[in-house]
Amino acid sequence: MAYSQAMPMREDRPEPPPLITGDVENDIRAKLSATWKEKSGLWGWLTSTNHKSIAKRYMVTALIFFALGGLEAGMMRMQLSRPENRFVGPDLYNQIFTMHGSTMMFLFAVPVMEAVGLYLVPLMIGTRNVAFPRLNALGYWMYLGGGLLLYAAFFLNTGPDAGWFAYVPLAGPQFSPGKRMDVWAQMITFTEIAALIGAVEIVTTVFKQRAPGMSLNRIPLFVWAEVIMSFMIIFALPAIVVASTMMATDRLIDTHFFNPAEGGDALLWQHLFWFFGHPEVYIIFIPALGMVSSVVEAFTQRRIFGYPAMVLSMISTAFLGFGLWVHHMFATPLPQLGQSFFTAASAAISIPSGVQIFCWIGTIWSGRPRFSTSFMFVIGFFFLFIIGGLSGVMIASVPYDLQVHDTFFIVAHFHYVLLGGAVFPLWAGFYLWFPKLTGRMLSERLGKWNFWLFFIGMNVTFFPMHILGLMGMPRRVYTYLPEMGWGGLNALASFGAVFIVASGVVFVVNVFRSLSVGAPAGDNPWNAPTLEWATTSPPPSYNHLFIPVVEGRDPLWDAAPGELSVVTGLRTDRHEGLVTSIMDAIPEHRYEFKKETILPLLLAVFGGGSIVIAVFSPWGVTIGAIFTFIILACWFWPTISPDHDTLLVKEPR
Amino acid sequence: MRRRAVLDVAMLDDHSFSIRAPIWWGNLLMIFIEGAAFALMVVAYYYIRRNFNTWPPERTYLPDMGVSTANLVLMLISLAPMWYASKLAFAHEPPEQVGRWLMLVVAFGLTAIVLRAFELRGLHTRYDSNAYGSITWMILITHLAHLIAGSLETLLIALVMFKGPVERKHYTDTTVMAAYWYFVVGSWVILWLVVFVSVRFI
Repeated sequence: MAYSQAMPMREDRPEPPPLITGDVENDIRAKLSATWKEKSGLWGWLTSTNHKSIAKRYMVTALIFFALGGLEAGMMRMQLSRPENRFVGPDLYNQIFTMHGSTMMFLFAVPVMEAVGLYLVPLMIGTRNVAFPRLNALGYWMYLGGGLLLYAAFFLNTGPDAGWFAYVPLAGPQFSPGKRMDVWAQMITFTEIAALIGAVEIVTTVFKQRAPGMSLNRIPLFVWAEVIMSFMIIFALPAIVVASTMMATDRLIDTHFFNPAEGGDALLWQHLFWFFGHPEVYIIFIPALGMVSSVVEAFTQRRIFGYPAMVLSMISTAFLGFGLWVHHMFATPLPQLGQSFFTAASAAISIPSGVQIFCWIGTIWSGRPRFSTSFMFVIGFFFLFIIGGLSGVMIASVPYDLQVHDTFFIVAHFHYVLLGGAVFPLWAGFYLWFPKLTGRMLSERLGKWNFWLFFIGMNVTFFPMHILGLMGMPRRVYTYLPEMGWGGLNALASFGAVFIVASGVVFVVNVFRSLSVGAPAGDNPWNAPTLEWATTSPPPSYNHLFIPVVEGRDPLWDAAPGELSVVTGLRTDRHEGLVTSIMDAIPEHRYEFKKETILPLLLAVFGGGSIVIAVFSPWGVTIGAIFTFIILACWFWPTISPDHDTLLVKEPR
Repeated sequence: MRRRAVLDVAMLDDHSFSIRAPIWWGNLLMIFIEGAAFALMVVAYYYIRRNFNTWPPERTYLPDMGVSTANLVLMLISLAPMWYASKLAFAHEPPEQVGRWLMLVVAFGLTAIVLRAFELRGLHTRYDSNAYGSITWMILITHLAHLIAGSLETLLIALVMFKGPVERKHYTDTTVMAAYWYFVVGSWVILWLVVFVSVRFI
């Protein structure tokens, strides 16, 4: 034990008085501001490892991709608005619908849900940064790299064109020559790395860095949702890692995973893809549930009804979500018993969803609902998600699914579920948390326009697609003949898209207007109960002046009015946080967060560059491995600074 | 807002081990991710099996047991120095001692990497021969990537232990490295059973 010594007391830690005086607070504030100050300018931007800076650019980037995906959707609606339209040709149409699906799933939905979590989770659980700040920065840069690769390829007429689920043999070397699908496969590599990094960050941060007293049964529901989403990412994404690697090698070095002539199997792709792809839907949906709970609690001013049932419902949704991927494959030759099992599992998932809807209704019923824009989006979510859920139960049944498989009915169903079930809650969340992010309120009047245009547009666009599907209109056709009789409903759907675009414009106007002339928000404009509202809006770089001590499930409602119990004794001269136990959040040890550095960006540039090389040559992998090791060695290599002196076991040689 | 100081954490240590350490959890989640990927490759292996009348396919020799068993035993032996290095780290023993045992693990790791080349030759198939070749190569190469990553990381930690500056948290890193190495070796036991043993019985 010769090398281990107890930490000596440091002079800069104040003796804790019962109530902290203003002088002490100002002193701590000055010290923390100096220690956690983010570098300014371009260099500061490129090297930042603060979870809020990274999460904000994550959100902005994801919203830009949402707009691009929306433009692609608009082009599709334009093309389909009348029979035999010549707006885009078949080849471009194939690229556009593939880009739309890939963008929305890989570049918008999953990243934005993680981004909101990466911003809010540390604030909500009362810590100063995510567990591995540099890794977090790498996650963002990899995500950005994937998006740039996909869109650069698209503008070079090399956009993927075999659909967002890239079925083989269509996506294989024989039927998709050229580099289009290789680009898709490597875009997956980028985004899967980013998503997995985000998931590991969130789980570790929540497990180990919760404020003292925040035991498992006091974690805010949004944080629970983010943890459950992260576990789903951790177990679902390896399937797409394996599958896209197989596809890339089939295309690049002539392996035969999906080549039936050499014993490969096209259905293997479908199994692997949907083992990822179905949980993916819940990866997007579960954080949205958490957002709904936050909004409902804030705008009814009532504790959420049935907290344990809510948590257990989300967990069981996650488990069931892994047991129903085959319902995407009912049109393939599967054993009948297998089909029945997956029908039952698909129908069963409506039970936990129903439990949650009833819990929210219970909360609203017994609370004092305030119909703000945020709350309206939640009401819209109930309406749309129930329609999407019902059509989901319909297509869980094999005979029905066989009738509507690959028709617009499916398109209608999943847009109700994804737009209604995830995007509406996301917008509810934007209106709830925008004041926290920026310190300014959004306009309620524009917000109501935003909501109603979106809600009407969404229904006018997607409801007719149910009927089009029942009339037999297949998805992924670039045009149709006038005799089919699909013209009227398609024109209506395209007309609805105009409302959605208008709603998007109103939102952007609202955001920019608010940033300049919005009313100041104050710390807690909604009188919400969770810890992110205990700090200033926008939060300082160190989040909370003192780490809070939590005394109940709704910390700000449970504390004495205007008073907060806090932790003292953390060092202010370095990036220090508190690590607590996994079950009861009992303090265990202090923890130093890594500081800002350029290395994550370098790794993304060189590692990402070699992934792009891997589109063309397998040597990309080797080159990438060498770069990665060199940069990781620099990343890991300890640097010595004066504030480490007491921790040293051994001086540098 | 008034703040009441109810808890002083100044006396708490600045690092810890096992489930108390964030990096241990980060590593565990990484193991989950990679373990899930291996599991799916095993599933793909048996899925592809159904497309062949014989396994391995006709005109393909059974994979060689000799070199692969030798490599398995070698990897299992490497657990001992890794376990000992981790034990020393837990006890905060002098860094050079920890580093020496880590270097022994690196030596084992590098040998395993070399033997992997012979294992690949002993498969008697190529990745582009047929789907059997593709999946067996995929499993071996992916695990090889883990061997390389594990050996290099261990080397890096050993170098830190020799060169410094060494902080107390680097002891935690050593124990977490050990946990990762147990995973690399443990997963190979299963993959070896699949690729080299089960092929003889199914």
